[in-house]
Amino acid sequence: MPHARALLRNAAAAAIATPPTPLIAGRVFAGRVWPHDTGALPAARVFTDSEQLAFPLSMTEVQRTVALRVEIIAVGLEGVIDDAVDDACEEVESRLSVALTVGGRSVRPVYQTTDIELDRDGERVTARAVLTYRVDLFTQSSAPGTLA
Amino acid sequence: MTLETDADRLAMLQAVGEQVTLAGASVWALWSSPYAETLGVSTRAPAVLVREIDAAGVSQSSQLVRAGITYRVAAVEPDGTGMVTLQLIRAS
Repeated sequence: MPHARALLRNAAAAAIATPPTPLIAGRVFAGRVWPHDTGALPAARVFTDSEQLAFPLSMTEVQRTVALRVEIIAVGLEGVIDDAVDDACEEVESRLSVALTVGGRSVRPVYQTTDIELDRDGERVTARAVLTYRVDLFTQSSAPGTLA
Repeated sequence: MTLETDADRLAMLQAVGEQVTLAGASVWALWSSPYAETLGVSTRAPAVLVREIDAAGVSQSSQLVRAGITYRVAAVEPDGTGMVTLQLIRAS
């Protein structure tokens, strides 16, 4: 059975990708690590890179506070790249503003921060925005893929 | 002792380079566009090598036109021997 984090990533990627959005349709990845091609951008990558555990009720049920992050990559000319990455952010934010179904449970991502970085080392300006959401998942301590 | 003159450098560029328009003037340049990776994106890093005397007055706001594509100079990197590498970013 997949881990709760994997279920969360897949649910978030599906929510962003379905139905297709105007900008990042077909380019939403859960777990991609290889470089993007400039001809296939903007794109979004969903990942979870940290988690804090608590046992609020009993030792058999774990509260997992997961950092769900969506990385958006876009390229463009100077002067328009900021708008391009913000347009893609708008697509992601609107899709993750509603509850997700994770392991049969309704889970609401809490939007926390966006960090945007620009790089001018390539042929065009590259922009990366990382949207961070806090998600609380409750699982059985003996079954991290089973949501309580 | 001068090992290499501006005329030598021009001859080298005429032998292996091409003409581009730099800040409105036609100059000889050696074009390169190697693979680069930035923020997880596979891209190119275009640059030209020109004579320092041809790049006098060139700054980060200068434009270079090659094959109908306009670039902005992103960095001016003199090598100290009379040649300058201009790092470019597309402006059109």
